[in-house]
Amino acid sequence: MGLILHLVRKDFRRVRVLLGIWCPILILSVVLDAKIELYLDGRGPAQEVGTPSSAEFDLAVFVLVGLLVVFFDLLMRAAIVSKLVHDDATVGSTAFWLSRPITGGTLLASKATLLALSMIPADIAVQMVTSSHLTGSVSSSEFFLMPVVATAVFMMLAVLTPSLARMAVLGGIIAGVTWGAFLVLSWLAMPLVGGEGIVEAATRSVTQSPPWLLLLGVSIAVICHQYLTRRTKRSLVMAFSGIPVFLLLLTAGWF
Amino acid sequence: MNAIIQTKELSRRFGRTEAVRNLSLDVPRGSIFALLGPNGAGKTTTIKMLLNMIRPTGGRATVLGTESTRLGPSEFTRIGYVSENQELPDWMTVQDLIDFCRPMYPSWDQDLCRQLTRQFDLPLSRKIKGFSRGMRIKAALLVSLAYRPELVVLDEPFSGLDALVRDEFMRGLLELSDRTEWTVLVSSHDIDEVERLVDWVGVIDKGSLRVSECTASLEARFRSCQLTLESGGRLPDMLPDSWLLPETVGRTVRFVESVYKEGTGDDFIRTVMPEAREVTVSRMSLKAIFMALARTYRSQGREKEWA
Repeated sequence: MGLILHLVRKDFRRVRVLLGIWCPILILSVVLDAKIELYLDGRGPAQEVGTPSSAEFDLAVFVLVGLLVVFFDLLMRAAIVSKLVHDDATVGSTAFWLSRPITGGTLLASKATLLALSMIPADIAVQMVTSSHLTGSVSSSEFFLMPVVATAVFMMLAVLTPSLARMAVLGGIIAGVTWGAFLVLSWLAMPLVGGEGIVEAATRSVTQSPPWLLLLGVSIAVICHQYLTRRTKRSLVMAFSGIPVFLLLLTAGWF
Repeated sequence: MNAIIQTKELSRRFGRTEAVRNLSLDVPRGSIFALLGPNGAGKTTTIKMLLNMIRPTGGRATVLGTESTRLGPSEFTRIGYVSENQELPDWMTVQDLIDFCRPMYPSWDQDLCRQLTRQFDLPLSRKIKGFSRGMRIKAALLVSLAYRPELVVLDEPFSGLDALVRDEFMRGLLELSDRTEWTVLVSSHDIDEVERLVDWVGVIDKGSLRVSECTASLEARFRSCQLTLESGGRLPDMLPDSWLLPETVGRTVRFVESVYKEGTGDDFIRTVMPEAREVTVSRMSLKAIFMALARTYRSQGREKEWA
């Protein structure tokens, strides 16, 4: 336990600046998200007679800025996770920790502890406070699930690569394959549910928890496997074999 | 022999390339063992397999009595490793690096650490990122020796270092060797770099171990021989296998005798070549022996390729 905390302290020193930059972005992202929800629920600022487009304009600005902030939020998450993981890479044979009295399990426990003590509580706290303050109620569990899934997926990509650039390439490949397969399945389902029906079905699918829970599970399994065995090829196979199961769950109701 | 490292038919493939082939090696406890070979011979791959950084595709190795694939924290607290390829946490200062490593080793010797810092002239408050190659190697060595490891593994630690830094580094190691009971395994492509340091030599070529012997024994059995043939004399068609790199210039014949026996060696030469006169036999430096072996393996390789 002493060694795990020692490693956590070392890692925290490494990522504290990035965490400091990320927190305001996270708050802004959640505030904008909640604002957009208020507008969509018709609880935005009272509209003056004769200026019907003002609220729509505000909403459009919120959505655009919101998307930008979400993009930066994801970018910062990827950067933090990359720094955390790639500093003690599990791929290759040149990392400093490999010749030190540190096991893969200890390293994994230290990384998981740092994430559990910093990013995940920050995610949950910021979302709970802002959503209850702005909308009067705490959001549903799906609302909290997505940041955790995003962090886990980034960590999975990081443990399979030696650098942020390679991580981006692998992420691009996995996202591309998944998105391509999703489009093909949508096209195949079109005759069954119709043109408009497929949009509705797709929207319903991506807002369900089970596929994202599966993605979280696969990511955690790959992370654990890679840290404990450092068998990258097998870990990659595990990661890619999660794609068809994820798609199966996502599109189960279409056929 | 009490071996601290033992390998038996250790092999490693990368796709179609066989980087290490059936390597059987014993590193005696307490020795300073040089693993020599040209670039690409398989030295780094062997060391990485020994320290469980990569898995062997065949054979096995034991280090400190433990199977290399099962090396864990208790073994790594007794092993120091420095490599030219090793990544150091660049963002740390030397002091940070010491503070990071110290709690991992129960045997950490703070006095030795201070002494090494002074000896290597390392600035404690400077970040490793801004260090030259030599300084980086010294920083790595500092945090690999301060806990008095039983086994020190140095993978090409001198390559790219200037002569002055190399000399400082070597003197530091020699001073420590006088006071410490340890085994050192050092790999190098150049015997010049380690000649002063080692008492045991292993030569690896194309992934196979060709020689593993103490330096005293090598120096005793290798001789550079030169003789002049009587006029009309010629080199016999069949020469003993132990005569390496025979060459003739006019009536002068030169070769390296690899199993020279003090007292009877000269007689043996005269028995093989009765027309020989003015036989000169001289001792060889480790560098000359290594060069002779390297040239022999290269020519044998060519012969195999031609065959």
